[in-house]
Order: sequence, then C-alpha cells, then structure tokens
Amino acid sequence: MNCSCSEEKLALFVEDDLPVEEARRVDRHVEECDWCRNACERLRRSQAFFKARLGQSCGDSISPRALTEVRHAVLSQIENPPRFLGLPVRIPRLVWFGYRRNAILFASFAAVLVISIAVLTQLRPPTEAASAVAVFDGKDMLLRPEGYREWVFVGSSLGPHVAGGVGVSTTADKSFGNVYINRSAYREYSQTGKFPEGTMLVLELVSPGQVQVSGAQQSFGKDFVGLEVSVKDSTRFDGSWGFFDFTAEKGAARAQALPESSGCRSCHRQCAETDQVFTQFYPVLKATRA
Amino acid sequence: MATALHATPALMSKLPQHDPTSEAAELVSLVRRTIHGDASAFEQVIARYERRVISLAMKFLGESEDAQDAAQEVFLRAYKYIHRLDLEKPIEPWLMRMTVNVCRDIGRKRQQRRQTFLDTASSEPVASGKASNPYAELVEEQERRMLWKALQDLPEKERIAVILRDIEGMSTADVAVVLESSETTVRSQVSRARVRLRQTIDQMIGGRL
Repeated sequence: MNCSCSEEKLALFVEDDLPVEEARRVDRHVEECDWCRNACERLRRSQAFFKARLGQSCGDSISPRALTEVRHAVLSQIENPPRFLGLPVRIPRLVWFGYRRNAILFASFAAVLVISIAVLTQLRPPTEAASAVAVFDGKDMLLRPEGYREWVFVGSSLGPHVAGGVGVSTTADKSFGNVYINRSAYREYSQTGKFPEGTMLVLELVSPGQVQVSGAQQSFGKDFVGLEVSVKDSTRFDGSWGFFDFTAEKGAARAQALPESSGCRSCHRQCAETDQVFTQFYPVLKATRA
Repeated sequence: MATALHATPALMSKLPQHDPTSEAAELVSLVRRTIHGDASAFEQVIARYERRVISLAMKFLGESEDAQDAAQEVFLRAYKYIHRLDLEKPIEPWLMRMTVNVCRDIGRKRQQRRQTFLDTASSEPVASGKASNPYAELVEEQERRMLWKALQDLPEKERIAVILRDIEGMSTADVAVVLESSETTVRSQVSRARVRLRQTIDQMIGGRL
C-alpha cells in the first residue's frame, strides 16, 4: 500500500471502523509511513476533542419540566383524539390497524364477502316489482304476467266460470277460481282502500277433482284450465280496467283486451263491490279493511 | 393512570439485539397493550425512551423548543405506527430512525426560515459540570457552539451519520439500521464527516491540541 492511502480511510481506521483484514493492512502501512502516521495522530486528537465537547449526553441537561411537558402533550393528544362525525377516530383506527397486521387475512375476508354478496344477489328470486308490472305490446295487447303465484292470494271460489274470450266456449262445469293480486296493489289497497293504477288481478281456473277421504267426499284442485287477467290503467282503457283471457290458446304469451261486448266489464261494473273488483268474495282483501 | 417508570442509565442504554430478559418481554407486553389502545402502557414506553429521544433531538436541533417539539412528534408518530413494529427486533433503532426523520424535517423547515442553530438556541446554557472555572467553562461553551456550527455545515447525511456514530456512540451496523442504509455507505459518510471536522477543528484551535 502506498501513500495514496486516503485520509477518509485513516478516519475509519482510528475509530476501528474498518473491516478486520483491511485494518491489519492499514496498521502495517501506518507503521512504515510517516505521513499516514501523522495523519492518524491528527485525526485521533480531533476525534477526542470532538467527543469531549459534544459527546456528553444532552440527556443530563434535560429538565424534568421539559420531560413532563412532552409527555403530557403526547398523552393528551392520544387520549383526546380528533373526532369525525362525532365518532372518535381511534375506534376505526384500532379495527383497521388490527387487520393491517394480517393484510392477507383481511384481503381474503373482503374478497369472500364481495363474492358472497355477488352470488347471493344472483341467486335470490326475481323481485316482485320486476314481474308484477303490466307489460303491453301496443295499446291493448297484454303480455302474460310471470310469477303471479308468488303474488298475494286473495281468495278462491268454486263454480262455473264464463270465459269472455272470443271463440272460447263457456263452460258450466264448476272450477276453482284462485285469485291473485300484485303485491304493490295489495299494499296500497290495504292502506288506502283503493286500487292504484297498475293493479293486476289474475284469475287462475283449476278443474276440480273428487276424492273420498275418511268416508267423506272431498274436492281438490286438479288441472289448470284457464287464466284471466284484469289490469287497471286509466290511460288505456275506458272505465279504467282492461280484461284479458289467456285461456283460448294454452300457454299464450299475450292476449288482447276483451271488447265491451264480452260481458266481463259490465259484470264487474255492476256486481263487483269495490272499483270493479269482487272484494266481497276475497276474504284476504276484506280483512285489510276490517 | 399507571405510575411511569423512572428512566435509569440502564434503560437509557440500547437493548441488545436479542435480549431475552424480562425487561424485553415487559417492553413487548407494553407495546401489545398500546396497540390495543392502552394509553397508560404507552406512557411507560415514553418514560423508557424520552430522555434518549430528546437527547438525540437536541444533538440535531440544539437546545431549543424545536427539540421538545421533535420529541413530541416522535412519540405521536410512534403511537400512530406502533402496530407496524416488528416485536422480534428492539424498539430503540425504530425510535431513533423516527427521531432522525423528524429532526431532519424540522431542520429543513428551520433552514427555510433562514434560522441557524445559534439563532434559535435556548438562552439556557449546556451544563458543563465545571463550575469552578467560569472562564474555562465559557471557552468550552464557545468551542461547543463552533463545533455545532461545523456540524450544521456538513452535508445532511454526513451530519446525521457522524452524530449517531461518534456522539450517540452507536455502532456502524446500528447506524445503518436507523438510516435504512448499508454499513458501507455509513462508513463512507462518517469518514468524510470526520475529515471535514478535523479540518474545522484544526482551524478553530490553531494547533493548540
């Protein structure tokens, strides 16, 4: 090693900051090099002076009052945290910080939660609102309502039903007539006693069957044989209500409003108790007005 | 509120890397309780390290209110981020690093305000402990101030490294941990600082040594 040995290296050497092997090499060189030896002496004196003046711990001169002030200031801010919307920030911080220690766990939990919500949202049945709105093709062609068996069942009758559709033969045979009303209309009627615009009532005809049970003749619903619908829409129909028969073509997807001559409207207008609805025969609707 | 522990010289020294003593276990317990919102536990943590933090802040910022403000900020940050602390490692380097960063921020702001250490120094002198010779005490005080000024004139990274290594007495490895740097870089910074200080000291005392 020649005297290109830098003063920076010597500055590390005098304080034992060099790696062991390098320190040994420098040590051997310093013994042989006057310049480096003198430089080391100056550095040692400088370091000693520096540490003597500044090396004493300032901690000894810290007043107890200063310590108290710092501690009090810190603790008062911790114990009286800022509030956001009336809630102490500490609460959500602690919850959040607890999960930040297990970031993967928290991320997994969040992912499971999001996926569960998405899956459950897809699995839940269609809302009543989606399927209980009268959908028309044109002015008076009603599309067959879906899911009406999930609406509110308001009553049933047993007797001959006269279908009003053109080309459909009347039948004197008794049949069960199960009547459903869409939920929104049911809620409105139960609260106000009035049927709102958009009320839909479905009459599903079911042929009766007979059976002997414990020696007694019992009747039961057997086959679906007819479907009729009434819709309240003052903008489309004179007299507010339109009547539709889906029976003529089994499984018909749409039906045109029955004409005045069909007799449905006149019968409903004359004999129905409330706004062309036979509420007198529907105990569930009667109960809402009790 | 729990009674705070008195700082003792033993507590003021840094804890070994893997101190299996009950003291280290107690500290871990205090940290865990702090994370769960126990302010009294954190008060005990403050009591253990307040002198060390304030002392270091004073070395960076002088004996001014800035050092107290820095210490306050350090402990507030410590409380805020204590959940990030690796309980397998000693807390002191973590606090020291925080102190360095806070003092660095305050120092920069002070520089922007064009204030120097001498301008903001408290009127309260540093006790030298040599009350028998007032003249010598004044000379030492003057020398001390000049050395602090020389430190302030160093590049920031060199200043911080040499304060931690030569004044705080931390090892090169510990300094590297605090500064989140490498030992090679720390040696380089420290060596340059020592050479500059040597030149300043030579000019200051004119070969009196």
